[in-house]
Amino acid sequence: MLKKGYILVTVLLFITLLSTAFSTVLLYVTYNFNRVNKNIVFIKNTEKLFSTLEKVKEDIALYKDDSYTSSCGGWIPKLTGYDCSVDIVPEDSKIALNLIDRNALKVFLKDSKIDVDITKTIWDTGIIDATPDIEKIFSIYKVPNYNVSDEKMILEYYKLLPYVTHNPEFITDRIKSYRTRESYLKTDKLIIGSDEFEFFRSYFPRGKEDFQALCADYMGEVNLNYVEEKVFFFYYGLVSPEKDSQAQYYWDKILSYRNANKSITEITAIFNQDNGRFKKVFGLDSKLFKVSIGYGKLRLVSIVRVYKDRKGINSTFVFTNKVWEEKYERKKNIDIQ
Amino acid sequence: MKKLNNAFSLIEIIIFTSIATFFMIALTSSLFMIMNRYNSIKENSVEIKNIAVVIDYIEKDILNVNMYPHPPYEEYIYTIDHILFFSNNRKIEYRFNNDQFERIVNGKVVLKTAKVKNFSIQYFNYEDDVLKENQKPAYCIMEFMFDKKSSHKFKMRL
Repeated sequence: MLKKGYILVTVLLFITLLSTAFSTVLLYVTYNFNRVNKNIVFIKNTEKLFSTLEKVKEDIALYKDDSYTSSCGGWIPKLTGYDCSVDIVPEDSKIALNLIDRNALKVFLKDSKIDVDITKTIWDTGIIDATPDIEKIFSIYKVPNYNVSDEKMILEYYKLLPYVTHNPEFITDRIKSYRTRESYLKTDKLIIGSDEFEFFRSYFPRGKEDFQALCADYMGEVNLNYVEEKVFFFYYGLVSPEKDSQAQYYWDKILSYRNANKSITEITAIFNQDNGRFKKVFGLDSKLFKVSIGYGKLRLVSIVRVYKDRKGINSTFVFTNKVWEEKYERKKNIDIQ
Repeated sequence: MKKLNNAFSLIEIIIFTSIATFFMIALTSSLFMIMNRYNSIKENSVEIKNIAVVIDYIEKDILNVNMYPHPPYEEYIYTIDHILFFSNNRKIEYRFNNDQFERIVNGKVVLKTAKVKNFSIQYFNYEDDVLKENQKPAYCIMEFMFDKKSSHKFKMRL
């Protein structure tokens, strides 16, 4: 008996029609979801970067006063145990471009033939992004040092911070009242000591007085274990008398420590007895770090500051974050060349 | 004599014609159904892609916001449906204008979409209270409503 049915052409046509419709739908969906997928991967990876940053912040906060110095490299030991590549560099052993005395800075720029426009406003980060060489010497993230920084620049700095609710002019007026002599930089002692520094807490909002320790300092923040030659000579010249010619001697002393792979643990080891003036600018630990975390092509750079609250517990605060994909960075570099 | 079956009988014709009609109707209706589903899937996937594009821009702006140093506060705009902030040293504006969400970079409209149905921002100070007048914001929470069901909240430090 003959079996009746559809002819082959009809069946093929029908199947082709169905499969074309389905595959078009699938293609369309995958095409559009590719962007969604990329977005999901980006969000997942950035979450990983930020969770690593949280761990790094906790680890940095564990280090107590003066223990940032280590036998290798002169600062906190290498932190390990992360999934991502983590690189931590002290950011405060640099010249505070936005805060330092303008005249001294002009002389330094002229002498070292560095082309930086210091007339730009405090927030113009473009001046730093330009060349990595300049970035080694200058920092725009440093906090004011009440014994060293320029009053006008401190005022401008505080106007930009959301957590100084009282009139920031109160702070600069008080700093001015301590700086009776014009040469506040050259005096052989800390004009604003720990007791005077404590007083400034009252200018911060109630309950948030610890921000005082976060966004100001009165002791030296330039880490002798890490400082660059140009930065050392600049700060030395800033606080020492004009006829002083000991800078090279002290620098050689620092170098001898570095060559012997030892870290400086006491400031008197470098500056013998007359270390009052140098305490203003030089220190042995770092409180401001540039943390760069890489995961795949993504990179996160954060500026993290460690500060002490009233109970003496270390806290951390992120000043700024930047996330980018490295392929774009490479392309950018090629464009510049 | 053996009966030859050269033609269909009336009943056979009726049965086969009705089966054929049934199949034709089934085929056309299933094709219609497929086309309808296809269109809705197409629309949904385009919609989700557009939302992904919006979120992509927002994520990258928020992650690179200029926290410190940042421009003076006079240059910022903080209203409930309009914000001007700085990210990656660029001036970024988010605005809800004529039922359309706009993302403006350095004065140029880069993204204009009706996919964002509603957009609102709340500002907070460092005490985690809603911002009062003459205060500087510490952070804001931006809420993007993509349709009646789904909305996205983004926290951004300022």
